[in-house]
Amino acid sequence: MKEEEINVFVNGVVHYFETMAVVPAEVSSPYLIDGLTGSIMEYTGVIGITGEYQGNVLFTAPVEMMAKLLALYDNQEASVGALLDLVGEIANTFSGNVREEFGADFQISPPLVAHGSPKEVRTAEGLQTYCIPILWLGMRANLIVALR
Amino acid sequence: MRITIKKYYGLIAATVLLLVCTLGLVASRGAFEPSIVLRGYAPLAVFLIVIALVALIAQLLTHTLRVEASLASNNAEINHILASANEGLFLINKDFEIGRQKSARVKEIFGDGVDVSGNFFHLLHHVSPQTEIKLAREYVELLMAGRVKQQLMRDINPMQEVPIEVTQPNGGTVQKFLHIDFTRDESEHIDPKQPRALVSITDITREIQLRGELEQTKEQQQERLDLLLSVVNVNADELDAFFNETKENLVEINSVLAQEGAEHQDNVEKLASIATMVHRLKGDASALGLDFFESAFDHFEESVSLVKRNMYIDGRDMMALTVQLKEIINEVEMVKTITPQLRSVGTSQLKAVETEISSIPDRLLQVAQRAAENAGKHVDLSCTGFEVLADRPELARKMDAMAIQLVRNAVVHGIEAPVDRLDQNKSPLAMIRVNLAKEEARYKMSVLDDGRGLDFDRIRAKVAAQLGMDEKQAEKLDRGKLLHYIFQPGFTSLDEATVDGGRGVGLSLVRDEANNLGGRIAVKSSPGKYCQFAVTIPLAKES
Amino acid sequence: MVVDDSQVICRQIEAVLSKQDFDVVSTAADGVLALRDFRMLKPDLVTMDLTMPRLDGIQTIKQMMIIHPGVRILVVSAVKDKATALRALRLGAYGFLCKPFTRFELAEAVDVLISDLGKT
Repeated sequence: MKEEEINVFVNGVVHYFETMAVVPAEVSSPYLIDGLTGSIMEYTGVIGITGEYQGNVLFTAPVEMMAKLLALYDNQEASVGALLDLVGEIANTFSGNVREEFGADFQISPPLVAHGSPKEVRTAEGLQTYCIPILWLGMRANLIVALR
Repeated sequence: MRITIKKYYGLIAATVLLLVCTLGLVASRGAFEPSIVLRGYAPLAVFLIVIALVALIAQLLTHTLRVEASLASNNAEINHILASANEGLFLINKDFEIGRQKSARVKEIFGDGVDVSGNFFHLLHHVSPQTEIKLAREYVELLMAGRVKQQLMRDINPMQEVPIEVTQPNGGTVQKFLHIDFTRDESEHIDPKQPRALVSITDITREIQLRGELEQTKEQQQERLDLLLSVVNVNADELDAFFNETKENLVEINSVLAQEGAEHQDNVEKLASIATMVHRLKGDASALGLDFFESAFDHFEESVSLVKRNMYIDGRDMMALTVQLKEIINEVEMVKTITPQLRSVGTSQLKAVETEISSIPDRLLQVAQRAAENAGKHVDLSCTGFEVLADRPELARKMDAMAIQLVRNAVVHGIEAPVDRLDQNKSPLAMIRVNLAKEEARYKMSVLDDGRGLDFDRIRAKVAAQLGMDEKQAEKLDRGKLLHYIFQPGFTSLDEATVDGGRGVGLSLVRDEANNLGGRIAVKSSPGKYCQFAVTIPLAKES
Repeated sequence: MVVDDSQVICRQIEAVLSKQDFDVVSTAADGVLALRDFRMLKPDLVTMDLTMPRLDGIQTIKQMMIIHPGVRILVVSAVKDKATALRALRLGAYGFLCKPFTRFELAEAVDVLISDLGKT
């Protein structure tokens, strides 16, 4: 998988923050992770991908960031349900961006959401998964690209 | 032209004579009481002065003529060189002004429309605007300054591949590539304050094209094969160490990427420490001859410097590095997994070669002893050094074959019968030493025996007999000629052929084989003491 | 004296120099270590990498030329950047050898480097 292709996902997230949040997000340098342990935060949205590449792309964020983001949507109560809903929304939004870029070959499933570690996601052994930190207002979310 | 006393001794003699005679004349006419003897010599002195003057003038004249002749012939030579040289040649001075003399090729290289004169760098900029003139000029300045060794600057000559646009007679333009080389003029008469350099320009357009084509094919097909082969050639422990260190370093690079900080400056720092690590990895791979990994790290290094060029470095710019890091990690893992299998194939072959080589001393000893037995002689043989050919099984076989011939030759011709040896106070057990050594640019095999040495009288007699020469003609054959004959097919100094010698093919075979391998054979000998044949074979070019 | 951040390279250079009857008085993995030893030992000959942690080759050469201007420095580096290599030579290095190199090339370069001196 090429850097441009992975950056399509990153741009999706950046675009989301640009549009929704007043302060833009910053992208830190991507690195490799072995499995998801340690990289998953409280709220995670997962999209599944089939086609030329197969696997998952995850957006995972801490509760504080989710609460701040939720606050941008007028008068929402920061319940677990609402936060899960939002993280699904974020995943949904940037997966839409991705579809635009990759075209029809790229099959993207509707997002799954998880509070805690998502059980459905399996990644290859070794340093095979990309983790891209997204920094916003001093908080950090991760975009995780686990595709083969 | 250097002045030597020898060349001028005529001139000096004439001048000395002139001085002596003049002094004599002055003395004889001087104010003090002239002696009769001296006065009587005055006409003679005048006569001698005239002779000396004539001699002096003649000397000066011939000298002038000689100098002119040699200048004329020098000029003719220079003109010939300039007309026929394959390179574009001219001199530049310290202000980079191009000299008047240019080789014919210069015009061809730059095309008719370009005036090759004036400042060299103006010309260079004119024909190749994309070349960095500042760098090129710094290089030439450094070269002219003379401190840096010019042989050790060639690699960083920034003008090794200069692209130029050449206007053709029909008005179109073609791109050419030039290799421009500079050599500081180190002749003695050059004033160090006025240095000059010879510029030699080669048109390498065709080479560049070929290289491009070759590289493409090579990259596509050979890369993996090279990788596999290079891995087999590296010592197992070193390779394991390399894989482990590389893996550690790659993990380290990953943790640098994982460090906090998304600002431009954070990334600049991350890049700096990654660059250092990648550079070291590249060096290690290159030191072990692992071309594949070397080029992978080279590529990585290049990506790092590409990312560095961004005005503002964002995490997304760094993505290229992470992707490459993953690829390299996978390559290392892949090679690590398949190496044991590759190695088992490789080592079984190596083992076979090793056994074959390790049996060479035994076989040579057998050959020597059998030949000695047949001739009623006693011989001991030592053989060392063949293991340097462990990586060249084919050559090992050929060297072995040559050694067998030379050992036989030593037993049959070199070594005396035990009785004769006792007569000369030598041990009846003769010694033969076979040694093979790898020297800087060649293999050298020597076969030394402590026998009678070459018997030139006997060889001369044989040569004369075989060529039907009479005694007088035979006496004219010097040792060099005779040595030449002993390597000719059909020559033998033995009267009767045996299994082991006397057919006159042994030495000629060895010489032919040595020649086939690009090497030569030489012989040293001292009568009654020893005879040594030495075969030298150049190392084949290292791939 | 051999300055290079790779142990593999240091060992290789050391082996070649010892064969040529040089005493390798020190090997250093970066410019800081190199300068520390250089002050004490004042070696005649230094092989110098350019890309190193802490203090790079260019800075190290600069310092060395101040401490002991008579030193002969051979830059041994894979830098493709000719401007940097030229800079090293302008600062006082006597020659440049491009990595990767064979033992023979290194030996030859060292010979050239000291061609106008008596070997020590």
